[in-house]
Amino acid sequence: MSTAVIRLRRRLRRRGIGLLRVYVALLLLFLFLPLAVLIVFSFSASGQLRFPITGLSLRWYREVFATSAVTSGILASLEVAVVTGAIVATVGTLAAVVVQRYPFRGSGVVTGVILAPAALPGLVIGIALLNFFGDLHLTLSLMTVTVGHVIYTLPYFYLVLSARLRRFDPALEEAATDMGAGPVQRFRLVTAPLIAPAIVASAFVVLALSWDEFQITFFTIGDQSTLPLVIWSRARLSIDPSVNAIGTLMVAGSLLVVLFTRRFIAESYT
Amino acid sequence: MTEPRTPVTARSEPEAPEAPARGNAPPPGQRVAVGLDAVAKRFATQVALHPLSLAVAEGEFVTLLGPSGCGKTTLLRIVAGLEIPDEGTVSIFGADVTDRPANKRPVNLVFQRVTLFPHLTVAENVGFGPRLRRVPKAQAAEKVRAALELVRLPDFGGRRVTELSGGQAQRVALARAIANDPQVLLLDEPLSALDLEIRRQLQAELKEIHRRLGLTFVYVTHDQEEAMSMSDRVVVMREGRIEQVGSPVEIYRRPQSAFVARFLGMSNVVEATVTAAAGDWLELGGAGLPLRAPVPASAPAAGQRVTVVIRPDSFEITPALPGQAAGGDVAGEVTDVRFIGSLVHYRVAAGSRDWQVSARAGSAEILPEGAAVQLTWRPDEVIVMTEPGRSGS
Repeated sequence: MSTAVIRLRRRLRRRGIGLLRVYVALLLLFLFLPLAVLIVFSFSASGQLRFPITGLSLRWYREVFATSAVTSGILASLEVAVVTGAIVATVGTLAAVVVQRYPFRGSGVVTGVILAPAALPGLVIGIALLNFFGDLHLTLSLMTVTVGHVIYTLPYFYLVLSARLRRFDPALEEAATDMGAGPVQRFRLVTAPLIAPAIVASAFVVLALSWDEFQITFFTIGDQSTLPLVIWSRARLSIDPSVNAIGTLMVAGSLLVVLFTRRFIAESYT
Repeated sequence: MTEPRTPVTARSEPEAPEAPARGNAPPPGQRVAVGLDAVAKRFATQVALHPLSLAVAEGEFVTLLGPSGCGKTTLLRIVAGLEIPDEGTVSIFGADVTDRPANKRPVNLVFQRVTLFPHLTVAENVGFGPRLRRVPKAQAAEKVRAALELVRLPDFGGRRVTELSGGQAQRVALARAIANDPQVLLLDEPLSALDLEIRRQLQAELKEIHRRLGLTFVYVTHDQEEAMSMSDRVVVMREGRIEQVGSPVEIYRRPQSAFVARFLGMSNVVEATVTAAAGDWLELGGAGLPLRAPVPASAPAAGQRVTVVIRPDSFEITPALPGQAAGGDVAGEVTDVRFIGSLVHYRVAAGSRDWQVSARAGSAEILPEGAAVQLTWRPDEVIVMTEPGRSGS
């Protein structure tokens, strides 16, 4: 190949990288501009959603925390998220360990059943659960919401943990056995410490998903609302700038969880 | 080649390779460390091990040698308790452990892959066994120190295992196994992933550790050089069967099958017919060279097809000098030369085929390709086998 062709290719590649940069920048702008607008307006001094904002203030945050519906919504969301996380972490860990490490006839079906809700629209899950709870004559409450969230978040937990378990070298467990560890000691001293970071990371993913889940919650909620439902009911009545403050708080919460998760994933052993 | 304390069996009679159970016992008067009796194993439809028996003496260094898929690792894992045999019994120092799970057997395994626990330090890894057995802290620390000293990593206790090189990791794995005070140490190709130089060094160290501890070692490898240089006895395996058992010297000097001969790097394996049997000697035809050989135990009759092996070092090669065609010499031509330092490997066309000939390089002249040469060989080093001409790998 002549040097001229090689040089041309290099120039094209350089130009290609330049175009790629512009494309990525536009994509990120498109994705995050609405969020940026939301955050900026949450600090606006005026009640008008008009740009540019005329002054900075924390009045909407003060208003939010003075509204009992919002604070109780935050508490309800936290309660649902934490209980969901605990249940999913327990059930999901056991299921993933059994299917990945001790596959049995029909373990593929188990995986399918666990993953199915991820493929279903939240709307369908919500309606199905509403009918189901109705048939059982259950009073809708945060408990029924939690059941919905468990079904919805389990697939994500299961997928993340299964990926970690697939990278787990079974020879490590054999080595522990060879050193004299019984099944319980082996799990306690080798398997559990090695997969714990992945369990924690997956549990944080569950917290983040549950924290802002709307569709399933909408159908299964009782008289106590979670934060997303509080926002929805307020935004439906009027465009109240305090919604921006709540939205910013939610983004901050999710970001914190993501940062935590990244730390745990970075610490997990490969 | 062998150590003074080596319990080499003084078995001189070659035997049929189809009877693997015979001759697999250690010399009398020695305690049996590992006893395998008619052990067989299959995976799904695949037979991993045909029923085979083997006894390893206390303090012996026994190597299971064979190509991949011959069942050597399966056999080792059966001793460790990580595989359960379908038939037969496994005993360790006389105690039947066939039904005992791996964690209750007094043996430890050094794996081919690095199996150090990544969440523990080097010292915590080495102290894993003593910790499980609730050895008092001070005593356990002493065991860890001694084991790390033995593998020449005395200052590595505080390191993370993820910071170790491949060679260091296998040393720590060895220390971890030794610190658990096993009665038998099992090693499953522990050096196969390492660079040649480190492998050589660790081979020497392993042998030294074996000598110092007096512990029984069962070692698995596919590297014949490794097996020959380290072991008291070598067990050559093929397709789930034991092909031959013997000291490295025995196996090298008297391979009992074409497979063993080829696996040990003897490439001159040819078919021949016995033309005459006279006293202690056989006359052989059809091998491409006029061959004479000592009568083997199987005593083939005239007219029988046999396999003949001549080791490359049984030949002597000299430049052909005009007017010096001595009796018994065969004229040939060098068709390939490979110089590997202390030895020169020649391929020589003589008679009706090519022969692999190795000669000490020393200060002798290295013959060029195309050189006319004379080949001589010692008839008593020509090996005759009566097995049906199985073609080894």
